[in-house]
Amino acid sequence: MEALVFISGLVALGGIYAMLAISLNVNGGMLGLWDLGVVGYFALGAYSYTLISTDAPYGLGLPMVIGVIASAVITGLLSLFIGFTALRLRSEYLLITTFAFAEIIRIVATNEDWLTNGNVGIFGLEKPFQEVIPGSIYMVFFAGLVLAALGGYYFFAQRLADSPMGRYMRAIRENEQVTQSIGKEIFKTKLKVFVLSSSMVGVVGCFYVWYMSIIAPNMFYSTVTFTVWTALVLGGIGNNKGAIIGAFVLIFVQEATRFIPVPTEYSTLLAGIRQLISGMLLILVLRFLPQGFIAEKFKSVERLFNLELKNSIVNEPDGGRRNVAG
Amino acid sequence: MDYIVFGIVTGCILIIASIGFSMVWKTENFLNIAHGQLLLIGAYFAYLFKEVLNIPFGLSLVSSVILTAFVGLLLAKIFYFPVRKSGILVLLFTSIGLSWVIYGIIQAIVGPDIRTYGLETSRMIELLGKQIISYQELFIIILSLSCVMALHFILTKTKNGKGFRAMAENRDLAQIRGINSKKLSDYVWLISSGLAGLAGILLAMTGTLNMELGWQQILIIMSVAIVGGMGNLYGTMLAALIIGLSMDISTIIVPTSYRTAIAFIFVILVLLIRPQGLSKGGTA
Repeated sequence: MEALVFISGLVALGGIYAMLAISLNVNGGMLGLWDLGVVGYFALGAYSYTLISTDAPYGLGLPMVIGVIASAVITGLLSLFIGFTALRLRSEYLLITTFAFAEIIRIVATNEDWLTNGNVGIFGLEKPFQEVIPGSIYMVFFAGLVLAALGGYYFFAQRLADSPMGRYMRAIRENEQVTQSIGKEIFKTKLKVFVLSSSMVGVVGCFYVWYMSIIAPNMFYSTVTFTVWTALVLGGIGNNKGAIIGAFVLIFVQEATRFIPVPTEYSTLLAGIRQLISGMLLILVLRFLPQGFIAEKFKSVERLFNLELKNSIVNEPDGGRRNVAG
Repeated sequence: MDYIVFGIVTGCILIIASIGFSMVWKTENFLNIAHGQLLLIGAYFAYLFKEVLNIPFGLSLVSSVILTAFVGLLLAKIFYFPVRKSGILVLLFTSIGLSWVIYGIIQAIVGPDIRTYGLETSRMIELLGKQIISYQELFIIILSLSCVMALHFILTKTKNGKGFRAMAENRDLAQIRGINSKKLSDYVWLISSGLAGLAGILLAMTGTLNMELGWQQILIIMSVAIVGGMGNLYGTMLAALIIGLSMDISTIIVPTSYRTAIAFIFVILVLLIRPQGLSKGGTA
């Protein structure tokens, strides 16, 4: 029984990271934005949900569903502001700006005690259907809930990737000038996708709050952002299936070692080794499988990584041909 | 007045920390996230020498800087050089992976405890009956100024320094003109890692030594380097001083815990007004 709870906890956490990786894939993978602000929207969604659905003194005590909707809306609105200021910048500059926003969000959450109860955080938060499901199998139910949501995310992202909008996003990623020259509005699209992706991350924040049942600023360090990016790179940038696989592999590698019973004095050693393994995994995959476990369906990932192409004419799967040189 | 002194000290440490980062960015064209962990390596080497092996602090400092320099070069040779051809995104993520590897190894060895070098509290220098600055702070300022001057001398007067500037502008062209870019980039990694180690030790001197030092600093280092303008070394120095000062002077008005937030707000503002940073690319 304990093992079942442990495994479903693992699945739930893996699923949460997989949802994050899919959301990131929408703007980081398909649109090619170097967005290092993931943890910021994550924290924002989590806090908006908590402050709206928890009872006083911290929250407004509104129903859970409103909390989830609000987390999407509030994250969306703030990311509209962030995107409006940051998306004019490119690559490294965009990266540091989004990073800076995420850090500011965390610092505000740490310091504004009246709003977030500061470093202590808010405890004992309610979980969905907690009254109906018995406590002993609640984790199993929750893992199922996460997987269902993950299915929804995957379906949505996959539809988006196959839609004209998805092709258009990849076109911007591959060559902004050319896309602009055929009369597409680059900035507006980037902003739309950025807000969409951030709201998706914001909703995942609710799941994380349910999973942890507490909320505190130290859950939202920049390592979360790096973990999600790592998951995406492991699985294969631009590929939704890859994002899911990468996230689960990474979380299993990091968490599976908790299974080994060790005396407490070795726990920091083990924590170190966990970090070491994740890092080595990332380095090895990048060296030997630069496209990740599953490459993007479209061959264009080669351009993203600037790989040298032997043949500049590439046959498309649907029969067309295009020149990828230059 | 105290705040200005603190700000200058913070700025000086930031200069040392970010020049190396900037040099690597300029020559290798990628953001080396693992630079932050090199600070950690340097700081813990010094701790090892000073507190575990009981070597005098000055000697520990010098030997840790040298050791960190070679560790940095070695890591670059093992991890970065083989994937250089695969593009900057692969390099960037490799450096994130490497950060985790270093962080994990150090955490496994030293554990989560917060440590200090156990230095004596240094005396204050009095001027006109007011305590202005402590010897320790003066030491940090002088040390960083001499580093900057030495670097300036190397870059403008020596053959290798001129070669570095040429290589930063155009690697291929520099190679055609007979500059040994392989040897030079080894030097760049050595200097960059050594400076990172030094900055780590200085940071641990002024505050405490904990595991998060690398992750915390790399954010500010990146901000400094980017505000300074694409790997421009003099712009980086200016940016480091401005950000250091603005962080510490801001504590007069806002709570201390908002110190880093101020730095980031500053970065965002600069990038919005001048998207290319304070000074444009130009010669290193």
